[in-house]
Amino acid sequence: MPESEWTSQLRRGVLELCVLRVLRDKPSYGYEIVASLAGLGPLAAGENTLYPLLRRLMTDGYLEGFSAESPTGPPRRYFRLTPRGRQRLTELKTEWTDLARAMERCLAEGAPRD
Amino acid sequence: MTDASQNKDIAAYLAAFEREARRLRLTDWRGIAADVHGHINEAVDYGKPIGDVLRAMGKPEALARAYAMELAMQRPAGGGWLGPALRLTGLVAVGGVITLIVVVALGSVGVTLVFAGLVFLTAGLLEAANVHFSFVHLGGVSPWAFVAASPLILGVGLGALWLLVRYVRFAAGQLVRSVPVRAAA
Repeated sequence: MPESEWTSQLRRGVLELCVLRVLRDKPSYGYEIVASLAGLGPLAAGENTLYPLLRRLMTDGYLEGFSAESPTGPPRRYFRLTPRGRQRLTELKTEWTDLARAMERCLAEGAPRD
Repeated sequence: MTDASQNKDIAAYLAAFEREARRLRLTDWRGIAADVHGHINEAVDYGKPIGDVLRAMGKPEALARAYAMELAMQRPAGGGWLGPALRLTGLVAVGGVITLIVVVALGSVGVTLVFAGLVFLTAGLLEAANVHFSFVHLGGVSPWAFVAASPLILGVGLGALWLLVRYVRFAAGQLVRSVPVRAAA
C-alpha cells in the first residue's frame, strides 16, 4: 500500500527520536543508519530525509562525527551521541511516552468530557 | 570501489548539489557537500549500485533544499535573550551612524549628479540647436562638450544611487538576521 502523506509527516516528526535511539548504543555511519531504519517499516527514512537531519543534529550539538577506516573503501564518517544528545534522547522519550499514552486514551475513549 | 564512470556520475551530482547549495546560501556548503560525497561513497562501499544510490538521494537540487529546510529548524543557541539583544543594540548604534553617513553621502551625490547630468545634456543640446535662454551661460565652452560630459555625470550619479540601494538592502538584511527569533512552540 502506498504511504500516505500523513504517515510521511508523522515519521518526519519522530525521526529525530529514532535516530538518537539508534545511535544510543553504538556509533554508526550514515548509510548504516538508513539500513537500520529500513527494517522498521513505516519508520524507514530515505537518504534525502536522514542526511540533512544528521547534519542538523550535529549543528545542534546532539551528535558528533568522527572518521574511521573502512575495511573495504574510503574512511567512513561515524556519528555518536554527545552528552547533550543523550539528554535530548531522554527528553524526547518522555514526551513520546506521554503523547503515545494520551493518543491511546483518545483512540479508546475519545476526548474526556467535563 | 568506484570506477571512472561512477566517479563521473558522482562528480556531476555533487556539482549540481553545490550549485544549489551556494544559491541557497547554505552555511558551510563545502562541509555539507563533503558529507554528501562521504554518504555516497559509504552506500557504494556497502554494496549498493551507484545508480540506486543517487536515485535514493533524490535530485541534487531537492537534496540541497532539504538541507536548507532542516537547518532552518536548528534550535536557537542557549544563553537567553540578553546576548542577542545586546548584539542587536550594538548593531543599531554603530550601523545607524554609518548608515546615516552612507545614505546622506551617496544620496546627495547620486541625486545631484543625475540632476546635473540631465541639465548638462538639455542645456548643451539646446545651445547646439541655437536655442538660447538668458539664464543659460556656458562660459565659452562648446555646447557639445556639455553633451559629451553628461553621460559620464549621469553614470556616476546613477552608480551612486545603485550603491545606495545595495547598501540599504545589505543593512536591512543584517538587521533582520540580528533580530533574535524564538522558534514557534
